[in-house]
Amino acid sequence: MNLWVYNLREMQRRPGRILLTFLGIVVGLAAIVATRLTLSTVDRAYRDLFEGVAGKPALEIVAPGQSGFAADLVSGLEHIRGAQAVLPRIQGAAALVSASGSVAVPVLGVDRTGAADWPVREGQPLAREDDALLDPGLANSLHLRPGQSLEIWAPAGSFHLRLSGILQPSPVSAAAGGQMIVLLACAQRLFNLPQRINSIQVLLAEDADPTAVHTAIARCLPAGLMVQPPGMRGTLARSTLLSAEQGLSALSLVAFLAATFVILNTFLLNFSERRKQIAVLRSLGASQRQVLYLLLREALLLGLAGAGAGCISGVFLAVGLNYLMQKFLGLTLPSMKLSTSPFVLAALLGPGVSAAAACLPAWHASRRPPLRELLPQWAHREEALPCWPWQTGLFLLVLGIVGEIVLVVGGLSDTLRRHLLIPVVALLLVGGVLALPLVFLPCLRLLGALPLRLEGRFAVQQLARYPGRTSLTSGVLFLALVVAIAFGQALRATLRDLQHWYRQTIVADFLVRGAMPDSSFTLAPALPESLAEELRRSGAAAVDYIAFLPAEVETQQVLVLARTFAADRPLPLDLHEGDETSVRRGLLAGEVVLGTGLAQHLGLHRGDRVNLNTTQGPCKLRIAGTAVEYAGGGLALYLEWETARKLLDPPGVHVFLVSKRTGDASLGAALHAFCAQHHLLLQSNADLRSLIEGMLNRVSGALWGLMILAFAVASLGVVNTLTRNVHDQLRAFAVLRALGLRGGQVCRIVVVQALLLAGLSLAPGVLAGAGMAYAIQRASAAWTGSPAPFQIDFRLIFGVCGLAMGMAVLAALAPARQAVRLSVAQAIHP
Amino acid sequence: MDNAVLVAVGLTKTYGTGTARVEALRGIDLTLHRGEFVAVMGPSGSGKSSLLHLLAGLDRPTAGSIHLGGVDLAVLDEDQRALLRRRHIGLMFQSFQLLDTLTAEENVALPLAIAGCSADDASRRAARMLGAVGLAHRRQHRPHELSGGEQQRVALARALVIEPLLLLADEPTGNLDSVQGDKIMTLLRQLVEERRQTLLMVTHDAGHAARADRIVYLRDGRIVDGQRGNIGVPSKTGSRGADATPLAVRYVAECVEWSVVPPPCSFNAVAFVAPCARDALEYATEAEEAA
Repeated sequence: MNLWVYNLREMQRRPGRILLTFLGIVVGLAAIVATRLTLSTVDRAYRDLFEGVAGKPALEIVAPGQSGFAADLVSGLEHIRGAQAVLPRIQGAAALVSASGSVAVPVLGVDRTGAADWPVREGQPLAREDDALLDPGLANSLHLRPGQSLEIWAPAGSFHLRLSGILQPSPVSAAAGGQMIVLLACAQRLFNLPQRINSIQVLLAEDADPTAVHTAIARCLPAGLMVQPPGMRGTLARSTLLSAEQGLSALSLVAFLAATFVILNTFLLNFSERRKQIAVLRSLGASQRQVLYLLLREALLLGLAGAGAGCISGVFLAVGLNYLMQKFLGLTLPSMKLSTSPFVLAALLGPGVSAAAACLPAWHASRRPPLRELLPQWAHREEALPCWPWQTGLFLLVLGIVGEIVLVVGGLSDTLRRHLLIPVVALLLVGGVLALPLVFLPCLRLLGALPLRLEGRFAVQQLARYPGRTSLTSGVLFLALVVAIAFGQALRATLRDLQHWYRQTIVADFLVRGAMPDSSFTLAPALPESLAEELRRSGAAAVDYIAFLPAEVETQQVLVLARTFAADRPLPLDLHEGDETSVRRGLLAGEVVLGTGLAQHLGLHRGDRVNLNTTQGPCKLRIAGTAVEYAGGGLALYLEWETARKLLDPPGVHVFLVSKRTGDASLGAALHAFCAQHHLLLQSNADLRSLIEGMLNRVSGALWGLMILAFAVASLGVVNTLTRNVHDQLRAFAVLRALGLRGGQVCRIVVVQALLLAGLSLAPGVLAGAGMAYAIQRASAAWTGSPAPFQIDFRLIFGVCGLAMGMAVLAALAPARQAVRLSVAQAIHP
Repeated sequence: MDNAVLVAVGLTKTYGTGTARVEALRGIDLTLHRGEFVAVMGPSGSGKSSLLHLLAGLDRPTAGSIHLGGVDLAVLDEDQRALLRRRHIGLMFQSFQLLDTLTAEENVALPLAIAGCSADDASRRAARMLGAVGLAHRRQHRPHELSGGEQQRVALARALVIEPLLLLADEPTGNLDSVQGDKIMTLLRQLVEERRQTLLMVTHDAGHAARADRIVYLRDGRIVDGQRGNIGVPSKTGSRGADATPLAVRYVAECVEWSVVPPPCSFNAVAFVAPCARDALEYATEAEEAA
């Protein structure tokens, strides 16, 4: 016999409760593991997309807007110390036409020497100028074999190439969702870059100092060119994900916090139930420390087991999340890499949180004088609530509120704001839960003073008898309510704003493009500008065009939306600063309109000047106005098309916006025929709207799913508490039954307890949730510049409240059933 | 005093303060010698349980000292008293206080596991002790599978497995019927004699108390009839209660209660059932002389 036997037997004794605790740990950790794996996969996808030669240290030289520059620059860099190889490249996106539709494909043009870096698995390497190599995944998905003809749309028009071979699988090409390799001469034709290239890759020697090489190269470059690590172009793409990342991280934190409180509640119940046993151990000579370690051991065991299961569940959950992100981003994500850090974190957090949650109850249990538990007169005493939890809660709340104020008006950098938002939210949530007894318990006492029916009186009495247990359970429900309302409001406000923005900016009847780009517009195939004339001949009233160009403003990577602005139509911008007339005038005069996120980030306003890196070097442009913009994660600016042509030399047009004449019903058919003939992608405004809404619905669906998960975890806490309450009240129920109370009335007592737990959490939960929603909106507006007015979403609030009450009633069913089915004789005389 | 296992001097225990102040014990002096079986009796609220809790180190006296094996319990902290209990004090409770999730053998081995004994050694010693109380065949059974008497025997085995200096029993027969209670008492008496175990037992049952070598009678927190710590005077035959059968004692108690003249019997039997020891002593002496 050793004391481990005691631990294991105790855990076997309450399998239901142990399972609930275990599930709480698993859910919390699975959310964290899944989020981290998914975000690292997405991050890797964007990094690999641009890193080119995977695994080798490199720098690249590019021009703003991916415009071209003279190829002879390559020879001027070969002498740089530390540069092992200097490789001319052309990088762009094309639309590859297939039977099932066009897909956006990254195209890499390499010289004949560089072609050796791309070995083929099947077919022949690049030989002819019109040869192309394809990634095996892409070739398989499009059922393409070596020797077949490929039709692609590029900025120079439609081309037919010959698929000469299938590449060896590589992480780089897989990350890009497939990649096409062509010879440099071919790429120059495709992308309208005669005698020019748009990228130079510099491979560094093993012992080279990247900083020194960077400096040496920068000194040799003409104005307008910049040297940077290859992944820099992914920075903008990754920045568009920041909001999604924050949302996922915040929700995984919430699931984890809710699980922690459930675990704490369970251990409080467990150790409270075992008071007598612990007293016996103490009377047999177990020291306080021995008892403490004995109890903590159980927590650690559960934590370790939960960590293992949480990691496994997290991997499965990550597969689902990856799929959702793939749909959201419009990018093929590489297969998930199981890096060690999420699992190490889970392995530490599982037992760590479990032990931390058990620490206080175990400490209290070990410190109780054994005599108090062994003497019968102490058996049914009421529990007193200590002061320190609500005092700590108040302190944390104050800290959280101060933190929130600092976030909103503190003048912090964007990065610091993003990093601080989640900890501040955590402070507010934990503080709110701990301080809840200040509100909850007086309400309960007030209810107790009311002339309630028998069931209500009993329910109130039982909840008031164990204020610690009751407060913790209602605290978990409160947490779920606050999170659902706060994040739900923020999400719905963002969606409303997004829909408003969409209605303002996408005003054309039809959109024509080569293929759908990814959500960050990094992989957007361009079409020749000359197509506009052909589209007009189809009967369009107006054809506008947009190009999405990566550029640099004040050392910040941004997305430039170069577009035409028809004089006879409303300005397709959701203006924040500036009126339509002056902004239009400014744009035509070569000024810019900044996205509110970019303006907020740079601290600029209408009338200020901004430094844009152009093909001719840095150029100071006046800001005609600011507008709400979601592309590029808000880090975007608008340039009139001709201005963009002069400054950035766009490769082509990414989207043609076609408007019909009033009452013209035939344009759709004509465009349809045109696009079918030329293998172009045609979307009506309604199509695009439903596409965007579908994508947003998927994202909000995933976020709602996580919120429901938080409620599910909270309901585990309710089940725990009510089960324990029923156990404590068994004798009372038996006596009542003996006196004539019906089973249905006993059931009602339990259900009323659940309704009280949920109901009394509603008011503080709704108030705190609305407050937090406001705080989140203000804090995120501080870096997005998004000025959407705050509105209380009553439908959301009613829905969430209904969900909370519903889940509480569901959680009460099993304990109520147990209470109804008790054996009266056995319960009276145990 | 050279073989004194426990010496308590001036033990006082007070609960509460102000108007809620209760003096459970008022200056108790008590000495237990090695191999002595002492019963503590008294009406409800007399301080029997408080005395036992203090001697067990489960509580601290408000004043006074308790020396067990030369160590003063009164000055020890919680953990030090736990350590003392682990090594030197065996405890039996009225409601057995066995752990439901452990088998009989595991319950008996529990104090050894707490003391850090190896699992094998603990199991071996526990099995042996269960054999000593006649439950070797039940060692794998859980408490709910055992009768009340069997559970109390397991509790006894658990108390004795550490070979304590002092065995304290709080109403060990309180939850048992008369047959089972008698068996427990017989076992206790046997163990006291065979092992020279020092035993202090709190009881309401006069018949069971009669099996003790000495009875301490408490009333209102004090030992009744002088401060000597015992009221039993050896009979002329030299036996110390050997003829005070439970039936006789019970009968005498009823007689005293109903103010009926008791039959002739050992004056010890009368002494510890009478509310007033001095009266009982005189009465019993007269009865014996008459007989």
